[in-house]
Amino acid sequence: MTSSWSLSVLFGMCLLLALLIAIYPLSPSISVYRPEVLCLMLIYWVLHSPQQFGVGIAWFVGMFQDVVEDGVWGGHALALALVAYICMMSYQRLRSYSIGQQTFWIFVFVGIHQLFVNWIQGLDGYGGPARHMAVSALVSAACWPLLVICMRIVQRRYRIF
Amino acid sequence: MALAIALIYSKTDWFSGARQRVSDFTMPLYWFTDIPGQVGRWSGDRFASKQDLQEENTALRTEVLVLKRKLQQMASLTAENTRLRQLLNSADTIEDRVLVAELIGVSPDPMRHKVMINRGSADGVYIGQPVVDAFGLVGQVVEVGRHTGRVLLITDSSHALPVQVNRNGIRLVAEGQGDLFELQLRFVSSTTDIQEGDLLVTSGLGQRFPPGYPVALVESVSHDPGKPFATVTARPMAELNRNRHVLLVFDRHVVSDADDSPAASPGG
Repeated sequence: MTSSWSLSVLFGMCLLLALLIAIYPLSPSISVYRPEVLCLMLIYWVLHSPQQFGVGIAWFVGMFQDVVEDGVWGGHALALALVAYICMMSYQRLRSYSIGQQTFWIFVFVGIHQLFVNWIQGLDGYGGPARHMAVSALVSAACWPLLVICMRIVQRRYRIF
Repeated sequence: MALAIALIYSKTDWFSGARQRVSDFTMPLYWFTDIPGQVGRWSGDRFASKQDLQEENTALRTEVLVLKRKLQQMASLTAENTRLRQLLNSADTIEDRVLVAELIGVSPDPMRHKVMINRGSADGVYIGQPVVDAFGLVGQVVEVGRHTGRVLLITDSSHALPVQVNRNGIRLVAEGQGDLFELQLRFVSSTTDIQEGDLLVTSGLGQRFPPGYPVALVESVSHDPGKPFATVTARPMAELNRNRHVLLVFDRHVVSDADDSPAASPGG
């Protein structure tokens, strides 16, 4: 019980941090290279404990991101719920992969995420060029090993597994 | 469900009330992310060397002198303008009241050109209020919270504003392209007298922006015989990517003056 509770607290803190990174003010030229930390964080937690974090939580997290970012409401919610669903379907396989193989799959996942977010934003007339999506997915995938290492250190430090 | 919400959001305005309200709750996050920048500026102020400050002081003194000289001419020109306007029986243009606001955040999406400012309805900010900086027009307020507001920049792809060529008064529409350094002029017929380096100013026709604020400089004019209109791009005057402080212009009275001037001028 306590373990599950502290896991949720850690999850919440990670998400808050990721959200702050997602809205940290950057000029538009640099903002293109901003990694989708929130998406990565969610994938990490779904792979880590798929029994606790699933599509529903992903939907709420995405909705919260939309509201905070002032994007089209429902864009990130849809994309994150979809990515969480794919992760839940394939977490057994993904977990057994090496970090390098995982990174490749993360690239695909973030790509799917970006595709859907971009499509929904496009409904409002704010769709970006495909180049931005590819760059963002690449940068995000490159951040994946870093995120995994950081999360492992944090979990060992506070003995939350 | 997410898809339904997205469709409702983008195709109807049912959520607009909720959007205004949530901005009060989401703004603290933007405040929070602005802290590193504030610390940086604070330390920059604190630890500036004496020599730097003296140099800055000298530069500012020179600038004040130059501006004061301009202002001297301005006073007589304003008086002359008022007299001429009285001769023409048209409404006086009163000097606009302004309020300084500080940027606290920018939109995280690179395609969306919106910035957050630290003034809201408590300071009298209203939706549609024009925002300028030291060099030109920045945009307009689109969302107002209690102590914060959101400004849509003129370069946002959903923004267009009526402008005038300062040289000859031709009226045009400048449209944002989603690029911070580019505006596109719509429906410029090939025979229009417009050239590179022309200054575009607000024309005041949309009743949104007060007339006469510089908007952009024409950067390129290309006539393609295959197209009905010339392609004209302009570069915004305002430093949209680096300004820290902006001015909110209160110009409600301009609109109301225009409304009741026909009735007021014969009596006065």
